[in-house]
Amino acid sequence: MGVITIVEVLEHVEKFECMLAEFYAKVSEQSTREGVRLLADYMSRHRWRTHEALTKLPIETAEQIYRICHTPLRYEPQGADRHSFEGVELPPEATAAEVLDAAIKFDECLIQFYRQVLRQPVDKEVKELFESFIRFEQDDEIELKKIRAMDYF
Amino acid sequence: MIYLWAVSSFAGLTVALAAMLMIAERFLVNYGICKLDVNAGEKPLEVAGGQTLLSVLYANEIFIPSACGGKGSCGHCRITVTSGGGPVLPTETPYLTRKEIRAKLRLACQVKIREDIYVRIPAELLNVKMFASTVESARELTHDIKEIRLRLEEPAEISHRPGQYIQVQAPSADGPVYRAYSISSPVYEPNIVELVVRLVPGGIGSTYLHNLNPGDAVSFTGPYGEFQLNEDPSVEIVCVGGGCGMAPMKNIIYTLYDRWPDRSCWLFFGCRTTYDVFYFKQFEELARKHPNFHVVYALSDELGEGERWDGERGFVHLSVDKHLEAGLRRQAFLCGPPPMIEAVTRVLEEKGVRSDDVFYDEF
Repeated sequence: MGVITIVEVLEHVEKFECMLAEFYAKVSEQSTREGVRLLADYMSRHRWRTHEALTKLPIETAEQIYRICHTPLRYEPQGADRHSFEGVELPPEATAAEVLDAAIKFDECLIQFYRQVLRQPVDKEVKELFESFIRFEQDDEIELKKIRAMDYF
Repeated sequence: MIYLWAVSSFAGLTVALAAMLMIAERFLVNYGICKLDVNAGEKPLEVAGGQTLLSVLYANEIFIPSACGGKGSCGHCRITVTSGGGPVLPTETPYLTRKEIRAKLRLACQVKIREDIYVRIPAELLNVKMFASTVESARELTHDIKEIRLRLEEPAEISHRPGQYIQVQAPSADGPVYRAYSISSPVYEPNIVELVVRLVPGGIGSTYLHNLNPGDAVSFTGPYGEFQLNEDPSVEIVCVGGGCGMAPMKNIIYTLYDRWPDRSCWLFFGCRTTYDVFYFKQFEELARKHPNFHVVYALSDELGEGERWDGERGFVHLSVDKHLEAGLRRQAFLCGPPPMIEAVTRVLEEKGVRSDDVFYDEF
């Protein structure tokens, strides 16, 4: 088992977020439904909302950022990669509910991925950072479930 | 099997210890009487320590907005604690930005009073009251949206601004919870609070409100909300909503035309089908009286058999793009799901509306 730093964990997430943006861009381009295109465009910007949430976190000093980013962990990150897309088919005629279900599944993938970090012996700062990520994804999941239940699109 | 026993015994022991600690703190630890100073002496209180700041403020009729009933999951009950609040807890940090933490903002539901505490609360929140009302009427607007009119009993009048909301107290298995709803009645009806409520499957607040009948008692706190309608009559008002996002728009539009009969205003409202359309005729009537008021309803679904529609088609942001000319000074109020808000905001920015002039209410 190799040693991985938090910055590498975050790079892994960033790569997954890029895959998601590409995936949704394709869904938007191919969809025959306007509501699905609107939703897919919104989903493709998940990455920017994550960045925005990150800037609000109470991590202030350069030393703090450096310390968190260079925390070494001895584990192999699993999930939140191309395998997460297996079984997710969104054909051009896919409905908004199917797009939302896929988005909820991807949020769940990220939550599971962040939870792996919390199972490692990490210090308070790293723990708080990943707990914030989990809360952000959980809030997003609630929002998506609400949109699905309200049948907006 | 033995592992299962070990894990469950350990978990049980941990839960029992945590419960014992909570009970011990409640009955054995005595924080005594603590001073709670609101706005530097404006409202000095003496309270029993050990309670949360939010519950103490409620008990003293200071109604800070809170949608989750003090569980720390909505982030609405923010107030400034200048001293005596202890360190910021990890349960608060997801809801507060760095700047807010530096400015000593805290979630009132997470702060426990253990010593003298000094807080700053916006004057407007000190004017928030608890209202007792009765249901005057409840009528269906669509298959899942109801208009509920509440007649105020005590106090008998409410002073609010268009775009503000109230927090309705709804019963739940865990005790009363508060849910936010925009006021749809105009400000010139001070003894009425009208709500437009969409039934959310499994939603505590909307289920409660949808089951109300005329004569039923309803308690709520309010008014809340920072939206300020631009007082300059040359500034055009743009309202964009969908679903139950109609409520604040109705208040804004009727209040606006009561005060400035010639003011320019657009209402864009998105529905899926003709069965979701409501208040359309009412707004067309208003538009006949006020030529500078423009009503655009847009349907996003294909028309079904027997449906007729001469209005706009497609999602509401496309109608906004089609009808609004670029370059005018505008203030916009948006209400709807986040993807709609984001799409409309982009269109408005392309039309030259400054982001500071775009207000929104996501739900």
